[in-house]
Amino acid sequence: MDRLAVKYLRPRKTPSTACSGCGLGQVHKKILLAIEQLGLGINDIVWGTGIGCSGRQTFNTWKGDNFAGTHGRVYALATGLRLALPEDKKIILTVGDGDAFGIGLSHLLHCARRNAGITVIVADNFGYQSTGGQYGYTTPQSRVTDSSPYGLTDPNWLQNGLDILNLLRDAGAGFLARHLSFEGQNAVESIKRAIGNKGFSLVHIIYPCVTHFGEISLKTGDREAIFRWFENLFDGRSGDPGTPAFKSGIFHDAVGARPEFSAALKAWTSSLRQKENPRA
Amino acid sequence: MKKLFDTGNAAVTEGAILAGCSLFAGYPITPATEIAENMSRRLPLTGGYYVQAEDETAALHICIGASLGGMKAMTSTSGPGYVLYADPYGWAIGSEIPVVIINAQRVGPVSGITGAPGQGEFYLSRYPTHGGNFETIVLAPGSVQEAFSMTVEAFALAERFRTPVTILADQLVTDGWESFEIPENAEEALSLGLYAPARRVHQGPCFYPASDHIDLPPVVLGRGTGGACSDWTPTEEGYDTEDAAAHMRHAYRLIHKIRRHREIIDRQESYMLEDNPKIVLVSYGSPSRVARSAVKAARERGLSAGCIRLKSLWPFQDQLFRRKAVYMAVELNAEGQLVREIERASHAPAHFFGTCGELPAASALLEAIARLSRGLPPESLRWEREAW
Amino acid sequence: MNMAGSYAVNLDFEACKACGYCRLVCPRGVYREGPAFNRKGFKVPLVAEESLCTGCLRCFYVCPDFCLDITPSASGAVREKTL
Repeated sequence: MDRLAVKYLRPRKTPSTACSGCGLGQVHKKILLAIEQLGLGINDIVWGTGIGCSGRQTFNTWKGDNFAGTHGRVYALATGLRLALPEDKKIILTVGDGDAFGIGLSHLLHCARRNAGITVIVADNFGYQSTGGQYGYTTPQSRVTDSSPYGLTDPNWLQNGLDILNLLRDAGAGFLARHLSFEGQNAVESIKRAIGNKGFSLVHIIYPCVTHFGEISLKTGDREAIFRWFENLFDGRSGDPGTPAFKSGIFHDAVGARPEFSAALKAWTSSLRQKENPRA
Repeated sequence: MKKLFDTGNAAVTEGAILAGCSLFAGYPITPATEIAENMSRRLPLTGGYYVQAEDETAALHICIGASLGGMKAMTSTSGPGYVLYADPYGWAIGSEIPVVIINAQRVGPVSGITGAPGQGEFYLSRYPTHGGNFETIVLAPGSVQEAFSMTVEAFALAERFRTPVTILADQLVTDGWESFEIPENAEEALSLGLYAPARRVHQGPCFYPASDHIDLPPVVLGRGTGGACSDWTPTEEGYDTEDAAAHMRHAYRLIHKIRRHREIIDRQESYMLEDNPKIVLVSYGSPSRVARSAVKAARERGLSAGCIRLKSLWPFQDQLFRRKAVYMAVELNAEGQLVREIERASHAPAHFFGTCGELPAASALLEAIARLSRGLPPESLRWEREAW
Repeated sequence: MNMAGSYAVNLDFEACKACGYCRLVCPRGVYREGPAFNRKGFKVPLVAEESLCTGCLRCFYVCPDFCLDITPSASGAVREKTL
């Protein structure tokens, strides 16, 4: 185990049972780097996870308090937890693209609307990989997957002028960023700013699934080919119209523009009590 | 004691506040909306929080998250919302997190009649989620006073058993107006048998003993105990495991922590059973009053009849049906649910008298008792009243 | 350029899943195909040319299994940044 794992992770769950070549650990590591650079410790963070590869592989790895939520609903759990925790306690959620942009999207948007003080890290492997590689709602168009054997016709959230982060921005998210899991300090910087934001933050990090997305959709098991394909997503050299092109970095930064949900509700409640029964 | 005259919904609110509820999350739905309304008005004044969720699934999740953080939480709904609790309900059962759930049943299926009483979730409240391997605690109030006291008791049971508790009411109990008393100090509360155990915090990470013990503090996150809980089968330290033996230990606790302490949960009210009457009407919630009137009238006609009102539904009180008698379930549905459990518990066929969306007429029940006394089955009028 | 030869590259042999990313991104050829399998059956890369490491951390950022530590070595205790 490296120094980050020794410092922050439970030995029993490290290394994870993720496939060799899976990029999820790269996402996990950037979060720990951000935590370390913010000077936060085990008791400063409650870590929640979703369901799927990102949930299973990060659940109960954090040495501090942590929980795994139901598929797509960890945001609703975290909203309740947010009210119960002191404001300085951070909540970090590691979820997958299914948790965030599939089953959990309504809860995610309402969490952003409320501006609940939660940092959501969406580890996006372009589909439902832990169940065998069915396509998800970020899977690049026309790709063959376990559930689109003749190629994907179902439109996704990331191409043809759509970008799910626009929806989240308009839902009121205070901070949004997108990165590739291979990136270094610039991804860590975005995660640090996300964690530092008192309100709702989301960082969308795309990472390679070699086992299903690689083998079925990219039709290769070769690590370098997969690596280069993902790299090209972010520097616009893919040239293939069917492949999305992303810009890495901060997508929207309105940190502090809106009051944080639990802080606002608590302040409102105590001022109401003052007004309603001043003697008490 | 403070005397009030209000609806069951208001009584539930007062009960929750007395019990120390500090978070209510809900979603508007007839006939439970008034609980949310009352909570949005009363809770903030006590320093608690009302959160309106995007749907019932989120509402119960928000309650569980708050409970996970150490707060006492409650949600309330009717049938169409209760089915959306299935996903989080299982999470709270598996992670052993206390939460209180009110279901003001109305006629189904689907939207059915929004404002008419029903009793269609008798079995659903026993199996509110998938997967099996658990027991549930369900109470059934029959009056506004009980809507108050059972809410307080539900919070206490949820804490002691580290599990969700459902209060299975019906629209007549929650919308009905009656006078009821609420204690104004601890002694008066104790005189009503009510107490509010404080939430204790489990210190160590290990918290899942494979035993049937209760009164164990639930996991609380955010206090630096290194606590972990999830929807996967946990080891004693909370790690996810796929080992069948570990699951047997986990399931054993979820089932037997409740079955082994039924005496704390079981409660019922019987009327005219002292002389072992031949006919026994069985019901819960608002139909019980009509059953009582019918038994009273039957006795006046020299017929041998009595009735049982179940105040706790699950775990089912088999012991009440050991006695040989002709049992007839009186329910607010047309297919018969409670009757099946009576047949199972009494190991004998039982009769059923079902009306849908409205209370049965006492005279119709009396006639059914008379027929049963002559060894005839109660008369079924098909679409008007199903009885067998 | 950082002084080469001033970094220790330690690879947790048993934790590594031989994903190959470190070798792929290292601009200096520090890693090579490894000769041995770890207990899980992964053919772990070999830190063949540690002295060539300049501490750029590319391998560290792409290692998914928390098994790589790149630390300034005591012998080469020169300035962190020489530019």
